[in-house]
Amino acid sequence: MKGFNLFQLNVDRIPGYDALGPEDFASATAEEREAMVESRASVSYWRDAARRFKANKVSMAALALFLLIFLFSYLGPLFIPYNYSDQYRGSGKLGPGEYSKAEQIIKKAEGQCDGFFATALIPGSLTNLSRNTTYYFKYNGTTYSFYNESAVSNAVLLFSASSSTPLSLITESDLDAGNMEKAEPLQFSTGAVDTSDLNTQELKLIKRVFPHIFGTDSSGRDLMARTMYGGRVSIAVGIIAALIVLIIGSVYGSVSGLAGGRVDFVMMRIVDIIYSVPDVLIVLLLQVVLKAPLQAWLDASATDFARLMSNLGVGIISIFITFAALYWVGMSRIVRGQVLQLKEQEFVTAANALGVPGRRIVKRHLLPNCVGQLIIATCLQIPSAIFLESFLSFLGLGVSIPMTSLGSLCSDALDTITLYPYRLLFPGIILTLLVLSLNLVGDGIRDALDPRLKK
Amino acid sequence: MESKKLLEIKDLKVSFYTPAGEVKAVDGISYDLNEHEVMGIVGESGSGKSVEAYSIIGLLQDPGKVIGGSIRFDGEDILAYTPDQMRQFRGNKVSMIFQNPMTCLNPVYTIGDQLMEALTCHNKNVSKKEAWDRAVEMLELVGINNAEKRMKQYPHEFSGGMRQRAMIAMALICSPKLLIADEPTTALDVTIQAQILELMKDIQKKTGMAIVFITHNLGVVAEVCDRVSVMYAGHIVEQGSVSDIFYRPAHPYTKGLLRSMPRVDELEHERLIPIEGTPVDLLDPPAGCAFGPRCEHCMKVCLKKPRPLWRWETTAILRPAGCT
Amino acid sequence: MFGYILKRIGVAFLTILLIMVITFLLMNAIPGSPFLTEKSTPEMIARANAKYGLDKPLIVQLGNYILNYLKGDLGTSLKMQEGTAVTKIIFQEGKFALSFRLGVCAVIVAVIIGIPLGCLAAYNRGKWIDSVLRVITTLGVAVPSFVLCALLLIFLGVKLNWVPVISGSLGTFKSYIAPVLGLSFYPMCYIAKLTRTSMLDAINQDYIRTARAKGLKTRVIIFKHALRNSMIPVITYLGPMTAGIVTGGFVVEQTFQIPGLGKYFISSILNRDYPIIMATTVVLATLVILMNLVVDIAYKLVDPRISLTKKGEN
Repeated sequence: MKGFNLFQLNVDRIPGYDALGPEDFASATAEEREAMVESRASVSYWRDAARRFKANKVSMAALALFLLIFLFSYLGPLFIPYNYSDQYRGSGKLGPGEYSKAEQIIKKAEGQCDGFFATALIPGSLTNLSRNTTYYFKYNGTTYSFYNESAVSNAVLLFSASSSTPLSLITESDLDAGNMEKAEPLQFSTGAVDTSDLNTQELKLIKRVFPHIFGTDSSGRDLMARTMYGGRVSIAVGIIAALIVLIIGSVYGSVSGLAGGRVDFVMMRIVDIIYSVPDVLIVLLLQVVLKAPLQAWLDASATDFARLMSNLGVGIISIFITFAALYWVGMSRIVRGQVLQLKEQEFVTAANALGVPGRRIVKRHLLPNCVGQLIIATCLQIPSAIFLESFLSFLGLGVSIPMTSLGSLCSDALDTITLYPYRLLFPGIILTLLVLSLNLVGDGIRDALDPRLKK
Repeated sequence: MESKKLLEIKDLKVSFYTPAGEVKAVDGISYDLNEHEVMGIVGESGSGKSVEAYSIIGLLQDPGKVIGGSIRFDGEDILAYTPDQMRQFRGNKVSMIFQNPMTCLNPVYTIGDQLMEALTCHNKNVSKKEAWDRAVEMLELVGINNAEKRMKQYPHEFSGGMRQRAMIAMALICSPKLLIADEPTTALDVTIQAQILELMKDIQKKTGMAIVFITHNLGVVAEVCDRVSVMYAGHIVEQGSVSDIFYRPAHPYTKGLLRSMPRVDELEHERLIPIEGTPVDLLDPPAGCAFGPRCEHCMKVCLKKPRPLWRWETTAILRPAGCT
Repeated sequence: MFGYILKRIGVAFLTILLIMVITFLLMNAIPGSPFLTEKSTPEMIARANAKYGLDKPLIVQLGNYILNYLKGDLGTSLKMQEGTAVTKIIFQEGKFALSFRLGVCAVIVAVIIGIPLGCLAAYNRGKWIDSVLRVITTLGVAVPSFVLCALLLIFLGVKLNWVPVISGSLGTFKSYIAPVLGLSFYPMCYIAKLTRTSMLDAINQDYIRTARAKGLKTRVIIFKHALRNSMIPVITYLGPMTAGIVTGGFVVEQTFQIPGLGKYFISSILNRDYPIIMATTVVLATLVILMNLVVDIAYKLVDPRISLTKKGEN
């Protein structure tokens, strides 16, 4: 019995085997075997990283936030009628969302003048334009005149809906009193009238009524417009400076790390020295020293590059030069550290043993393995560049007035911080959100690129 | 000779939940291990042999999870242990040594510190002096000369073989009943490998502990093990005594492994025959035998149904059906 | 080890000399004389230049400056406090002490709070406390110091009236709170983030698996095995952090109107008071270089693998 059991299969454990026929025990063909191994599409490293990044809700939200600030800064100015540099007299020190006096007048006039397009003169425009009771002003190249017995400071110009020629003018006091019929008809001044003794500056009109969402500064500049332009400057400065640092730092660091020995020692002492220099002082000195020669170069040179540069302004260029001169050291240390660490690892030794040339080892093995570190460092470099730029602006260097950056807006607001905290809060919050979003995007990219953190 | 069962694993299933899907790293394996017995677990990379070992000692990391089966040690269900019980169990009753001794020791603490710590964390009332003496004794046991001096050194002052010796000393300091050795010799030189194997055999004889020896090297198995389990794609495809596996292999995979191993005892120069193809993708295992696509004897039925292990009643040998 | 430290001190000394030269040359590259004002005539400028030795060749001026520096004479102020010795302005009038006190407090706060916060986050990885800390630290490294200082000023000073709006010479404990918080918040958050990251990095190492296999308590694994290894990147940050705190000091002193070295330094730059600028630079550079030296030695204490005697390392 025992002998028989030896060959007795424990059939209970294999359900379904009874139903098999002899044909099932024929040899399987190579094709059938092949078909079993359904090869999964191999996903490339970068595509896999992109998938991981997309799956990361925080970094996607941060990316959206960054894009929002980017669009706010670069497209925002198209949608508001204000410019970063225009000063509107009488619009100073407005709180968030307020209208200036002139704008309030227009709002009022628009409600009362059917069929007409009304716009206010920029307050103060009419001052000193009078000769006795006849007022003259110049608009769109034409000189107009009107009569009014009392002194006129603020007024509304009325246009017909279809024409760009002003038809009549209503003073603020009449408007306030609701005396719309008192609108003064405007006359074209003929050449016979000598207006040369009058200040015949072009009148500035308020093109469109729009609230000052972030308020205005003491000079009557719209803070939202300034914040948008400041955002442009800060983003550009941050990214370009970080790229400069990335390129110089990684080249220097990998050369130092790979060369090793005496070369490494000398290169690292140079780094140490630059590192030890209190950067802010050198930055300040560079800013001051560079200003005159830079300006001279920009004025003399007529190349496209120089023209592009002169649009940026001396302050910003010297920030870039400063970054190129000083700030790559941190990056070079990181890269060198990575290179030293990786140099010891087997795959580099293996590549070395196979006779792969040094340049190729750097490109194929070291840099890809440093990528995570480089990205983290670069992403930290962007806010650090933005910080430095704002720091310089804070000290009166960096970007110069009327150009602005988020940092200089904050420092402008510092003097009146207790009275108008919102002047600092708006650009400060946007600056913080900008840096925050860049940090989080950097973190997301790092997590996506580093397969060790793969969940 | 009836030995007491030390470790009983029944239908153990371990899965890793990755974003790409569930990876069944261990898919229903069972075996018993008696006291004083040395079990070899052989398989290629990714066959689930390390994962299985980690689940015994409770070192499975997220996203790995034991999703089925049972592990009993000395009659106790260790899967039901609380984290703290598990911690008490690790290093005390079961210890483990790992593949790469170069990175397995903490670089910033001395060898002595790390050895003594392994003892004192399970025995609160051991004095510092006693711990020191015990650690020195262990270092001497694993053949490290100048143990007193070595105690004060840092891992980077040790060679690879010395570190593995220190690891073994550390694993054995609490006199565990079971040692799990996860490819302990793979990262070492051949001569050092032999020394370490010799040492382990020696210590096993002295202390009588059981060993689960994980390796992909059949030569090592022949050297130290009493019994062997061959793993492929999360399954044990064959199990038996060393002589069964070496002289009467039943599963084509085992045969393939043996054929691909260089033999010094063969007088005639025989060609090594590699196993064709690559291991299956565990994310999407085939319905039938996992080895089917690579098997030269593959039948149509093999591709449809998994091949169960059939128990031969008089022996404790598990053999796959139909593959002989 | 001792020889190495001596060598490092030598290099540090050379660095300081180099900084003096660079600073001197840069200062002299600035167009315009420090005495050039609207009222000054060429004769007045020449007289002033002669009085302060600014008419001598550049190399002589540089040589004189370095010699005097070695003697401990940092020169005399040209404009801001005309005729007063710079050493007296910096050290005796308490400017240096004030800034130093503030800086040391900030470093202590940053390290003592930052590292435990990082450990806490790593220890509770993925739990709510980790998320909260992550939000705080992420925000902390994103807020520019002057925005933070302004916020502290508005909320703690003006709205809640807890701390004085003008900290002055830091006479009371309360006057420390806002400036120290403003100065240490960024490094604190940075340290916490760094600690968390390197901690999690350390946790994935093989030796942690060994420690787990030994049956050590999670607490011991984290605070003994992972922490010490993860301190290495944190120590690396301490050097730049000192420089950062010096820089941050400028903003904080400006915002809270603390008459320290930073505030004085900025005004000396705006006034082009050469001796003060150079002396301050050298003093601050010495501080940062010393800190880097300390960091190198601290490395050795934490990581036995780093051998200080080995050439070409660090």
